[in-house]
Amino acid sequence: MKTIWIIDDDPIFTFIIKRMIDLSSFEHKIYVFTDAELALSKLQKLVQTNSNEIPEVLFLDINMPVLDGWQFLDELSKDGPFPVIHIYLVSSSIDPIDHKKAEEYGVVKQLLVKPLSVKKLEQIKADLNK
Amino acid sequence: MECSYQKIHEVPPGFKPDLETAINFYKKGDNRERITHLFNQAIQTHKPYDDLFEIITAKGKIKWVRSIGIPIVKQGKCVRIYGTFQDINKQQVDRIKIETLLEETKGQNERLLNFAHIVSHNLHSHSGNLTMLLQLFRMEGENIDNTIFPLVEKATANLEETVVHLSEVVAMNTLTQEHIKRINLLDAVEKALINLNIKLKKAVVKVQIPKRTMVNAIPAYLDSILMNLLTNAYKYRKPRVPLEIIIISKKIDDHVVLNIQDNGIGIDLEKYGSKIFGMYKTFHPGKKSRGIGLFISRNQIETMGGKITVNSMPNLGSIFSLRFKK
Repeated sequence: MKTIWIIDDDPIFTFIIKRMIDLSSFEHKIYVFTDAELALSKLQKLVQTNSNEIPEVLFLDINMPVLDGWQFLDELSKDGPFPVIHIYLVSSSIDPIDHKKAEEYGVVKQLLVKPLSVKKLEQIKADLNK
Repeated sequence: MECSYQKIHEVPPGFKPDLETAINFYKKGDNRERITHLFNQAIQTHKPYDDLFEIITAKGKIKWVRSIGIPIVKQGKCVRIYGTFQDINKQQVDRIKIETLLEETKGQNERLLNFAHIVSHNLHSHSGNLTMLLQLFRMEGENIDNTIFPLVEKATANLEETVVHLSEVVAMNTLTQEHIKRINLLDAVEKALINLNIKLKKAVVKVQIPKRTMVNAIPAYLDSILMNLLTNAYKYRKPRVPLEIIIISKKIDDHVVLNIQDNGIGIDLEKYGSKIFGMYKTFHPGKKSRGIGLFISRNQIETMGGKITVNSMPNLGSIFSLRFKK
């Protein structure tokens, strides 16, 4: 079964996005990580073994303590070719610097600014099949 | 000169210092070392000196002075140093005060910006969560048929909007001079007009900008200002009168001025003139104005070293003038 990973240190937000995905037409299994380092080491292992458990979609918060979204991507890209994952950065920032940075990271599909909506998630779902 | 020496050094009339005494008036340490070095240099190499020092007067007061020494040379030998003093204590003390103040203000600004970033970011996270939770509440068919729920929704929407405005204002301060680029003004205006295509479909828009007009601007800000002014022209058009917009640029000295003129409902500048670029100022009831657009535009153009001004008459229309550095 295809999976979606949510990496965000805010438990209220992870609850919300999980619920929103449930209410949308996604049929993915959802994994939530509030600890980015843990998520990173798990993902690195999956990438090394080219496991079929590599998530199809990743919602990654930018502002997290210890390891932030950018660092997460940097660490992941150190291990050779970047895995095929639809990566969406999530932030409550409308800071133009973040938007510019997101464009520079080729692997990022889009920077999503909170609040999200079920409608937005449906768009993302539709984009997956393109 | 004698007189000013007495006054500056606070010594009795007729006081004639020898070299050692004269040097000892200079504050011990860097000041005294510097004058000794310059003085010896003047004797040996005949090089005049002119520098600022701290002295300690006969009455024990610390004072800033400008000390000038000109070697008098006879037959290749320095026979004496012609010295003058100038009391610059006030200027120097003021300068140091200003410098300290500037440093402090810089630090305060940085801290304030930092603070604003954190506040806007955290507030946005929380208000975003609230917005999303209410959306879920509604979607999951919870009981919302009461008077309170719609009000909570409205209050949350208002909060969200305010936080977005706040974040916009904060974000504005993160782009600075380094982001300024040379931009073709005509291209920028045409791009904005294309983006507003649907709204301006029925309007008559005349653009008179020489093809090679370049301005110094931050691209995102220029786009945002143009969009804002053109949207305003559309929003405040006169009912039943076709909207006309004239966009003209001219070069004035080392500036480019862009005028955006409309035939809309105008603003009473006598009444509102000073407030038009302020935050949360709206002048046309029922127009769904947020009172943020012109405030942001003004901040953006000023960040780029430019200026925005307005000329307007009720019922005749408005001309907004943007001044850019060329």
